[in-house]
Amino acid sequence: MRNFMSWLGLAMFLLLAGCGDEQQEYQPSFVAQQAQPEKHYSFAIHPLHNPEMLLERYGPIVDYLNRHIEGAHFTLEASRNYEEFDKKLYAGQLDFALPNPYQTVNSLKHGYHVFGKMGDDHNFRGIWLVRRDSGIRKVTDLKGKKVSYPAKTALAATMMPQYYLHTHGIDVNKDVENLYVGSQESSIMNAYLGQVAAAATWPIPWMLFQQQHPDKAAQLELIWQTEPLINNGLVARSDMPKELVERVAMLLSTLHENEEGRALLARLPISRFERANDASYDVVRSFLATFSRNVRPLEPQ
Amino acid sequence: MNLAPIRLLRHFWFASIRRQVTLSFAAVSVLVMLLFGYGILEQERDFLRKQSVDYAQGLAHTVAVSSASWVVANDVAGLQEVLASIGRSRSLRYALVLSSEGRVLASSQPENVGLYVNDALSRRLLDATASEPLVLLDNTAMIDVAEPVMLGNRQVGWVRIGFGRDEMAANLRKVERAGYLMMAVSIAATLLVALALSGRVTGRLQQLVDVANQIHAGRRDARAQVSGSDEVSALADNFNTMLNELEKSERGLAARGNALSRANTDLTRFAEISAHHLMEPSRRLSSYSQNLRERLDAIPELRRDNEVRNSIEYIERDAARLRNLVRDIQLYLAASEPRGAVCEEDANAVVAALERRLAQRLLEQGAAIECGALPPAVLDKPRLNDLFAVLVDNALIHARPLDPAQPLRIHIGGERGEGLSRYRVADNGPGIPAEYRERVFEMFERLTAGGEGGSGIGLSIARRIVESRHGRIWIEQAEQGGVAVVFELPDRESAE
Repeated sequence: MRNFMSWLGLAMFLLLAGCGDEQQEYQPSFVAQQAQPEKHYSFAIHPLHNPEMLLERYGPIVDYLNRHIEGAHFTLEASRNYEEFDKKLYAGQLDFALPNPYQTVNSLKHGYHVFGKMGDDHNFRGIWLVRRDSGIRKVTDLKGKKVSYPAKTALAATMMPQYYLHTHGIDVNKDVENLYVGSQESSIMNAYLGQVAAAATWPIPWMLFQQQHPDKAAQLELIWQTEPLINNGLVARSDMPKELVERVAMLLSTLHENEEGRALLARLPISRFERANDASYDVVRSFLATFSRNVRPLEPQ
Repeated sequence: MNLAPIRLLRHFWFASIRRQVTLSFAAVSVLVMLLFGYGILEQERDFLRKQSVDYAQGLAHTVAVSSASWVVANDVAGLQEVLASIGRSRSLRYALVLSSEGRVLASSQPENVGLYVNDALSRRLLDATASEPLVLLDNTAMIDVAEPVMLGNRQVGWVRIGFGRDEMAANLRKVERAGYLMMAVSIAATLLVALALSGRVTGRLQQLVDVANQIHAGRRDARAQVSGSDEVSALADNFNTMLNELEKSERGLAARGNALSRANTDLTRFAEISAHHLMEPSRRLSSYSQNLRERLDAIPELRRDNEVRNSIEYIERDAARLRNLVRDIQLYLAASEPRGAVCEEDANAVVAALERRLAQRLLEQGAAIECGALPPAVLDKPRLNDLFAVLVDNALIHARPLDPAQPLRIHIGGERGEGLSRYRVADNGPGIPAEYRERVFEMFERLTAGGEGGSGIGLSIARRIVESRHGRIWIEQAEQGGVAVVFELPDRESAE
C-alpha cells in the first residue's frame, strides 16, 4: 500500500513537473547608438578579389590598424563588384578606401584626398593570359575573338590591356568582343575554360591564381604585358580627422619596417605602402585622357 | 497523531476483496497510463523541440552562408533580399543579420535596420568569443539561435533567428488531448474488466461466505452451489466436502456425547445413590456407637477400660470421617452443574454468612477471617457458598501457623479484572512448596499425614466449580507466608 502511494505520488509529480515550465516570449531590444566609446570607420577595398579572399588578404591589415589606433575601430568593407564600389565611393559613403588609380582620380572629385598608395608600381601593369593550346601568338590573332576583363573601370586589368591592344593594332570597339566578367579571378577562369580567347588581368591576381590553382595556371600562359603605371591609391574622405588620417598613413607606410608588417604585406602581396598625395595621380589623369580620346570614351564619374 | 482516518482507510481497503481488486486495477492502470502518457508526451516534446532547433539552426546557417559577402560589402539592401528569401513563417518572430558590433544590417522588421541590439541576451551573444552556432534561448515559448557569419575563417557578423513555439505547443496540446482521451478510455475499460473479474471472483466467494454464515446460524445442511471448473469452484467443492465430513463427524460426536452424557448421568446417579446408601450406615454407626458409649458409662469397670474407650472413639471418628467423605463426594459430583440461577451474587454476603456459620469452630481453633471488599461473582449462590466454604475449610484444616503462639488468620480479598472477578483466600500457615501447588488440586491428595477432618477433595471441588464456569484457579505464595488460593470467575461464559 505504501509503495503504491509512493508510485502514484511520483507519477503526479512527473505530470505536474511536465506542465509547469510555461515561459514568456522574448524580443530583442534596439537602440540608435552603440554604447561603445570607439568611433567606427569603414575601410573599403576595391574588388581586387572576391569578398572572401579580400577579407583573408586585407582583414589582418585592418586588424593591425585597430590594434594600433585607440578610440577608432575600422571595419573592412568589400564590394561585390566595381559598380557597387564606385557607387559607394562616389556617394561618399566610405570613410577610408583603397581604390584603383582610375577610381582614385575620380574620388578626388567626390570629397576624397590621397594620403598614400600601394608600392611596387612596377607590378601595376596589365597582362594578357591565353590558354597554352589556344594558338594565339600575336595580338592580331584576337581579332574576331572574345576577350574578358574584370570590369570596365579597372585600370590595370582592363583599361591598360585595352590600350595595349589599341597600340598593337586592335580596335577594341570592333575587332574583339569585350566581356566584363566582374572580378579578376572570373576573367582568368574564362580564359582557362576557353570561354574567351584571352583574359586581361594584372600581376597580383595572376600570382595568387598560380598559388591557389597551380594545375589550372599551368594550362595558361602570360603572353603580353603593358607598361607599368602608378599603383592603387589610399584615400580618405575630407571630413576624416587629420590626426587619424596621418596615423593610418604612418602605420601603413611603415608596415614594411617590421616583421609583422612584412608578413601582412606578403599576403597582398606587395612590398610596401607609400605616402602619396593627390598630385601623385596626375600620371593617371594623363593616361585616362589619352585612353578616353583614343580607345574608348570614359563616362564621367 | 490521530490514527482514526488511517484505521478507517485500512478498514475501507481490507473490508472487501472486490474493492481491493477494482481499486488496485484502477490505480495501477491510472499509474501506468500516467507514466506512459508522460513518457510519450516528453518524447514528443523533445522531438518537436529538437526539430524546431534543427530547423532554426539550419535556416540560420543558410542565411549566414548567403549573407557573408553581403555583410562584408555592407550591402544592407542585398542582405534584406537574403532575409526575404527565407519567407514569412507564422512562427517567425524575428530574423536579424548583425554586424560583429551588433548593428542590425538586415531584419525581418526593416525599421530596425541601422539600430543596435542592446538587450542582455544580445550582449551575451556579441561578447561570445567562439565563432560557433549558439542556442540563445530554448524554452516552451520560443527558440532563438545564432549563427556566425563567416567569410573564410573570419567572422564578420551574426545571423539570429527567433521562432515562437505556439505551433509546437498546439501540437503538444493535441497529443495531450489524445493522451488524456486514451487514458480515460483505457481506465474505463480497465475498471469495467476489473469490476467484472472481481465481481465474478468475489461473487462466488461470497456464496461460500453465505454458506459459512448459514452453518454458523445452525443450518448444517447448507451447501455452496458454485458452478464451473476454476479455483473457486474447486474451493467450493472442497468446502462442501469439508462440511459433509464435519457434519458426519459432528453426528458421531453427538452420538458419542449422548452416550457419554448418559453414562455420566448413570454414573452420577449411581454415585449419588451410593453416597446416600453409604451415608445411612455411617449415621447408624454413629448412632450405635453413641448408644454403646451411654451404656458403657453405666458400667464403671468398663468405663475405665482404656481399650474399650479407644475402640469406641475410633468407631466414632471413622463414622464421622466416612460421613464427611460421603458429603464431600456429593459436593464434588454436584460441583460442575449450577444449583440455581447463574447470576451476579454478592460475595461479601456469602463470606459473611460463612463466617457466621463457622463462628464456633473459628473460636475453638482461635482462628479469624479477615475479609476485604469483594467484587460480585457471577455464579449460582449455592456453589459460591461451597466454593468459599471448601477453601476456608481447607485453610482451617491444613494451615497451622509455624509459630503455635500465632493465631490462624484467613484473609479473603478480591478485585475486578478484565471481564472477571478475581478472589484470593490466603492464610498464614506453612505454605505449599511450588512443586506441589498443582498436585493438591487432585482428589485425595494430601501433603501431610495430618489434616484430620478433611476428606482430601476440598480443592478438587473448588477447581471443578471454577472450571465449570471456564474460570481459573491456582495457588500462590501468600504475603504472610502461607497459601493463597486464587480463582477467577468470568462475567460471561466463555467458549474456550
